[in-house]
Order: sequence, then C-alpha cells, then structure tokens
Amino acid sequence: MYLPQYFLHRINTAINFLLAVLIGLLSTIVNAEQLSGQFNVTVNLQSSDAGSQFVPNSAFCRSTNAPGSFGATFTVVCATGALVDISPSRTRIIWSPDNGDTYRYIFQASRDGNILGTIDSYVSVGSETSWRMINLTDRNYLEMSVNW
Amino acid sequence: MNKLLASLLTSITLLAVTVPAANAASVAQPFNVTVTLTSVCTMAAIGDLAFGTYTAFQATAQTATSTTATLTCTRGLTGVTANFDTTGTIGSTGAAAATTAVGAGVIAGLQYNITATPGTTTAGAAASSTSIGGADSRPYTIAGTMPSGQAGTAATGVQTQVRTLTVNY
Repeated sequence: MYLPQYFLHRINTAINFLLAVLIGLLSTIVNAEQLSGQFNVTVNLQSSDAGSQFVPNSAFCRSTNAPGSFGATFTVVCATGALVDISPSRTRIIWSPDNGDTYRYIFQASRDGNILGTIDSYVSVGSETSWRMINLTDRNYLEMSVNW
Repeated sequence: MNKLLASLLTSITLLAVTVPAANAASVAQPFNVTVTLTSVCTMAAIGDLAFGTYTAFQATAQTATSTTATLTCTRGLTGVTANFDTTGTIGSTGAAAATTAVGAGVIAGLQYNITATPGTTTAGAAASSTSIGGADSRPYTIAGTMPSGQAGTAATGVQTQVRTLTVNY
C-alpha cells in the first residue's frame, strides 16, 4: 500500500469510528422515554376587596372609617385570634395626620362583654407602632410599643 | 435335543429384542431465545397539590398538603429523572430534568415553589418459570411552599392551576 493510500485509509477509519459514536449517542437519545402526568395546584386566597377604597373585610375582621373628632376614626373589629394589619401603607386608606401631625389610636378593651376602658395613643409620622393582647388567667391587657 | 433347541431359540429371540435398545441414540442442538424489551412506565392519577387558604400578607410561609405520583415501571430502571412543565401557565418554571424535579409558579398572584422527590422504589418480584413477576413501584412526593408576605391578586374561591410532572427513563 502506498503511503498516501495508507493515510487515507486511516482517516476513513477514524471518520467511520466517529460516525458510529455519533449514531450511538443519537440512538440513546431517541430511545429515552418520557411519561407525563398532570396535577392541580390549588389555593384559596383570602384577600382584599379590590373594588373598595376602604380596608377590606375578611372572614376575621370588619373595618370602617368615618370622620371623628380628630379627622378620622378607623375601626377594626376582629374575631378572636385574628392578626390585624392597619398600617397605612397596606390598608390603602388615606389617613391624614391631625392633632399636631400625629395619628391617634384608641383601643377599647373589653372582657366578657364588659368594657374595661380605652387606651389612647398619639403616634407621630414615621413611627412604628405595634401592640398585642396579653391573655392571663385572671385578666387580659393590651400592650403597645411605639418606636420612632 | 428339543430342550437345547428351545433354549437356543429363546436366546436368539432375547438378543433380537435387546440389541435394538442398546443401539438407541440421542441428538441435541442448542437454540437461542431472544427478545427485545421496551421498558415502560405508567403513572397513576395525581391528586391535587392543595395550598389551602392563604391570607394576604400572612406572616408565615404556606406549605401545601403534598401529593404523590406513583409510577409502575419495568424492573431495574436506572437514571430516571423528572422535571416540571415550563410552558403551561404564565410564570411556570421548571429546572432541567434531574433526580428531584424543581419548579415554581404563580397562582392567584401568589408565587410558589414545588419539588418532586423520588421515594424508595419497591422492587417488583422477579419472573420465574411459573410466575410473570411484578413491576417496580416508584413514588414521587410532590411538595409545595408559598413564601409569606404576599399580596396576591384578588380572586374569588379556590383557584386551580394545572401543572405537569414529566418522568424520563
């Protein structure tokens, strides 16, 4: 065999080998089987009433606002155990600071149907206010924190 | 003389009977039994991945009640991978096929993440000369979580979205 023919033969062999490998890979891919099954993702979103300008009602709370002695009175009545968010940024309700640029929060605490009293708090713009109801064996009380 | 003749005749007869038996032969030739097995899996209907009720802005993440996709497969499959659909619903994503499928989506304006994790394969009984054997059972647990603090998009009642789990083998 002449030298050029030898090299041509080797090249041809190499090409054939590569083609065989490629075909093998392709056949592997083609032979891969797939199986699909569908399922439902479900959720019940308890959210705001998009058409209302007021804080929305929910299964837990009812809310209203009306003019009061200091410009606005905002009332939220909730069932036991509800988590209430009345921060202005989320309620979409326009609260205008009044009485010296402060919000006024009035909490009316009651127990067994008897009004225990009210708690008034004036909160400046930019402050963070939070509170919680403390439930003890002999009494309940409201704890409020204000940061600014 | 007669006795001798009778005895000789009997011997000849016995020899004639027994000689053919001694000459019986057998011949054997092996042959191949061949088959090409196409492996197959089937999947039972998958229950809902139910997130229950999500209250907008809730402080804790919501975990769905998981559901299971059970595959019945040819015994001994290896390299099985899974992935979620990416085109069914706007916002649906799915990572490349892997042992555990990972995906995400949006329903009622709420983002969620889902996984499909393979459980322990229950090997089917091997076939025998008297039994056809059984199939491998491969369960996939589909779980989901919704991050906390989401506003969602107003919707009434339970919202449903169809997702697809694909298993590759």
